[in-house]
Amino acid sequence: MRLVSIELSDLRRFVAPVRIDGIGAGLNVLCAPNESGKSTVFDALQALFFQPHRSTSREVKALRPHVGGAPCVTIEVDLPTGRHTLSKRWLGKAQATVHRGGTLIHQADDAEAFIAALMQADADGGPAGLLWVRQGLTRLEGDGDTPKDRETAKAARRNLMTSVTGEVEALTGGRRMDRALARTRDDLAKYVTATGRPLKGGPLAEAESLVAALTADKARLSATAGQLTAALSRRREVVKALADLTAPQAVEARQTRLAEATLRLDAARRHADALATSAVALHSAALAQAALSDRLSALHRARSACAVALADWQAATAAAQTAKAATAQAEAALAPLVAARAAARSARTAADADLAEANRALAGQAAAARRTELAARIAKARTLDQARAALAMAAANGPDAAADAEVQRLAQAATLERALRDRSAAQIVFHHTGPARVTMAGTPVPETPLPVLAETRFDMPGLGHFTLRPAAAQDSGALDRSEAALAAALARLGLADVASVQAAAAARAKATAALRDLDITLGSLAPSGLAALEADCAALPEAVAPRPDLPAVPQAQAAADAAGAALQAAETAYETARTHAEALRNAEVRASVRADGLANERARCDAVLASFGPDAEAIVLPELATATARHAAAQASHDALVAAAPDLAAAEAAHSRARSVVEGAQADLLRLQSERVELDTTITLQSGAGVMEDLADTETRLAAANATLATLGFEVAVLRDLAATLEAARDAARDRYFEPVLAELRPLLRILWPDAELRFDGESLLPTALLRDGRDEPLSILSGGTQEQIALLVRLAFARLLAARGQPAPILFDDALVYTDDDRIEKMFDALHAQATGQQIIVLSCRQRAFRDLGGTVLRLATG
Amino acid sequence: MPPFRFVHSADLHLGRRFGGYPEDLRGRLAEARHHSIASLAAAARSFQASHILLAGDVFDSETPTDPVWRQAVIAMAADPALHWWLLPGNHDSLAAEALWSRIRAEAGDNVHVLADTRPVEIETGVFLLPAPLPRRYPGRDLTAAMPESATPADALRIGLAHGSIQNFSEEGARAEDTIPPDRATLARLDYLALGDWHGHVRVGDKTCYPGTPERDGFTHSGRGGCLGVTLTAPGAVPLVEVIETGRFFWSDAPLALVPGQDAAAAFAALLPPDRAARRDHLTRIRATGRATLAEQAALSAAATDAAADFAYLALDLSALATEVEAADLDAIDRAGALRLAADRLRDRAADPALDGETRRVATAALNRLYGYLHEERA
Repeated sequence: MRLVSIELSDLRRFVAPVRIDGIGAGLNVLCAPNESGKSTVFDALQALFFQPHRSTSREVKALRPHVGGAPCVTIEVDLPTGRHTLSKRWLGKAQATVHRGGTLIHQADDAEAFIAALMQADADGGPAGLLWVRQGLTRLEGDGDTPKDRETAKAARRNLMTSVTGEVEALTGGRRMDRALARTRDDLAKYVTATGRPLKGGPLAEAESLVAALTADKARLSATAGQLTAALSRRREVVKALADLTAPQAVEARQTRLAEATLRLDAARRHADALATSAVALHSAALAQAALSDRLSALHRARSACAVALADWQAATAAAQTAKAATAQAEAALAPLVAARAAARSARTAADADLAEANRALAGQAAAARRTELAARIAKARTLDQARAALAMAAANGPDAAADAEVQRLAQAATLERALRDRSAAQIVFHHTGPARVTMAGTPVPETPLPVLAETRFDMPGLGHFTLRPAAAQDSGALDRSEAALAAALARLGLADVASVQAAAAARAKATAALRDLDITLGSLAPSGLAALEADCAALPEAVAPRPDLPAVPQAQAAADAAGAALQAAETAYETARTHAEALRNAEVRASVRADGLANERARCDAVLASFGPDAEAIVLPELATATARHAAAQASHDALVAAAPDLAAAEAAHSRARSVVEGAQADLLRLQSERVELDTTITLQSGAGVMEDLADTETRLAAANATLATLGFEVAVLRDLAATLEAARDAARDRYFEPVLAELRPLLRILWPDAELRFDGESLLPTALLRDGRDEPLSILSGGTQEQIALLVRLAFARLLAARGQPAPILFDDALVYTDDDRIEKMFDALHAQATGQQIIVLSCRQRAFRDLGGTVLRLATG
Repeated sequence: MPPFRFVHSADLHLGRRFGGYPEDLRGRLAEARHHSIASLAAAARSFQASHILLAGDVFDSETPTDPVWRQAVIAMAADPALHWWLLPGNHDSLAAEALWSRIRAEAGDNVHVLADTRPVEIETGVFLLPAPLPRRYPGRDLTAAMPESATPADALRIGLAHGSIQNFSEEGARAEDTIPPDRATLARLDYLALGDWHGHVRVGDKTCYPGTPERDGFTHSGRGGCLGVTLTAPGAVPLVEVIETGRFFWSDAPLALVPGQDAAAAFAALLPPDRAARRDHLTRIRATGRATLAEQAALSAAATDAAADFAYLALDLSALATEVEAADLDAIDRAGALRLAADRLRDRAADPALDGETRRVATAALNRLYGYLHEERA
């Protein structure tokens, strides 16, 4: 939206119409002296946008001229849909209209809605009209001469700050929101604590307590009422039961039943006694009959036993005689078998003697051959044993291998030392040219180099001799020590030289080898020694000459085997016959014993039979017949009693029941009478206490208390919902508007103060401090100039925000910079110019000189 | 035979305590119930009747406190010219043996307890056929024996019973207990005096419920009363006259509202114009329909303002829907966070996807927000 023109009529001092035309798109400045009507223009615009045309508020009435009239404001605005003319008239013939291109498009409430929509950033709020700053700082503190002037300036400054905070308030609901939220929270706090629990002593807690108490009362009273109801019910039952028990017919019936049951029980008991007596008699008769029957049976059994015993004894006696004959016959057959066994034994002994003698003759022949072989070996061994003594002596004398090796080592050492001495000694070499030869100690000197170790004389035939004396004696210590060691070793061995040692050592080794070969041979001849061999030879048996008829060993062996087999057969035959005879003897004994035993049994049976006496059967049979008849009679009598017997158990049960009925009725009577008294007491007491009424009353009160609790619960839910909704809306508004405003404010602040930030209170969202040079300066201590500059910049920031959202709205300042110094006002002008790009700003000021350099479109109030 | 005149009443429910009402009112209501005895006596005298038939539920329970039943009996005995015929009802059935035996023992000669179904000649040629309840739920129609109850041929037969006809019951009828509506005809009764239903109902020519002499709830509007009955001759249609006896006037009025209607004025129109009489009025007004936030605020304010005139005044807004208008929301705020909050509450209140309780809470919250800001402006 962009303002194009403004026309006022009948508005405060402007009784006649005045206009402002040519309002540009950017910065516009209307500079005019005091009381020229600038603030009236401001108020007229405020009224057009914010006062309904039907309003008769104080603000609207303040617009009316002193002479009366209907204030009217008409403006032209450019909108995306074209140029519109908005007009409102108040108080007299109030109207609101909107024209587009000369055509009325809205009026009255529609026009109000249209105008209101222009001032809203979007559906959620954000009034563009808040960009306007009402005049207030026309009198600077210090500029005024009177205290009233200074107070006016202070009030204006406060108003300016109020309007600053008013922007934020409008965005977030501001102080109205704070008050509504505080009211909501205060009301909620009457019911619940900050943690949501019912507030102790509060209505909700009391309602809950009341419900709990009434619920408990109801439970208690219900229990008591239940007891009372049960008591009433029980009393009815008790009374009825008492009436039943004490009814004369009932009493008589119980007594009659008892008397009849007693009679029946007595009769049954008498019959039972008779029946018992009958049973005893029956039992006695049965016993007598059984005893006679048993005696007759015993007599019969004794007779049978005697007959059986006689037959058995006779058979056993015959069997014993037969066994005895068989035994005699077997023993007679045993004698020839004994003789045959003795002959077989003699033949076996003779055959065994021949076999032994034949074996001895054969062994004598083998011992003679062995003796001859051992004698030859003994003779050879004796010869070798004699030779071994000489070899053993030779093998024990002379140096052994170790001594020989030591002498050889010492000899080599001496030879080496000697060679070393000779190599360091003077040497003389003779070359004979003629036959004459130089001699040394008579021996011709060879033509090889000859070391001269000591003064030596050489004889030269024909020439004389010469003596060679070495300049100094050679060091022969080592050679002497080697030769001494060698000599000592030879001395220990008792030999003259090294060759003797080698020869002696060789002879000893040879003797040792021969001795070893001899010992091997001697071992093969007599492994255990010569003496043992000689003992073995001596132990061989001497040979004996066999008798002429002695058979050879095989024949003797065959004869011995045959004699053995014959003896075995004779022994078997004898043993078989003997066993048979023994068995027959045993059978004979057993038969004899059995015959004796049966004889004894026969005698016992005879004695038993004799004990019954003569004519026993003739006596017992009549007695048995009598006893049988008596038993039959007793049985018949008993059966008759049994058949006629009454049911004693049933009679006893009937009597017991009848008696228990009578006794029970008496007990019930006493108990019920006692219970009725107790119930009457209980009912009287509880009725007097009004339990039923209390219960009904408590139930009603509980229902009411529950309804109250539900109402309070609903109230708490409503307040919680309202508080949460208000907080959420405020947070949303803050997020939506406040942060973007800060973002827009930041570059504007830095036109004046590099790196400056404006701080806002997080809860109230009101500006609280300016952060400069790292320090927070509370807004209240800032100078008036700084405060008004902040106020103006906040509006510019808000305008930037709206413009950035594609909803540009004009900014209107009515003497908004009155405290600002020359340097700062230049910067503020810079800020205004920077903001005027794409943003309509209208500055109303009475400071004509100061604002001369602001630039922008110059506006004028025109009449007519 | 001269015309026989008597008063028919029932359901005094002496001893009822009215726990759901404010403490000071409860005493007044209980006292009014006791006073109904004197009112009935006065009604009988004015009706020139000497018999008062109480068709059950004289007492609210089977075990009333001693002061309740003693003072009742004393009040009945105050005028020995009046005969009180007490029929045990479901609240004070014959199961209350102790109660009735003590009343029989201590009441005067003019107080009669009808403890069995034998016809009683209460005046020459006038027979009472009682049907006392043996217990709270008898499980059968106790008037079934009336046709067989023998009386002289030219006698007046008056049935006295307590129970429901069809569904006329204060506590829900049981089919087995239901009294047939033509019982008076079947039993050759000249009048069937019933109790149980707390409002006056005439069932046919000869059968009536008198209602309580002192109303005890909003189910039946108006003041309590009794019936003055005149039997002119056997078989004739009785003359029945309603006699007002109650002190308190109970009313339960619906208040249907539409947006734009002056809710406060509509509410005021339902109130009795005689402000002095309001002290004995118990009034419940159930608002229905729709009203704007401003109208609801005005309605609540009117109710709060008038409540002090009444013994009891309740405004039930639970069935009143909120009509949210743009002007209401503008009154909260034209824009900004307050408006955002109001819009959100309005949206929740109208969101069919939300449960009823959530919507009801949101509606009330919106009302409350409007009220807070409205009070602030005021």
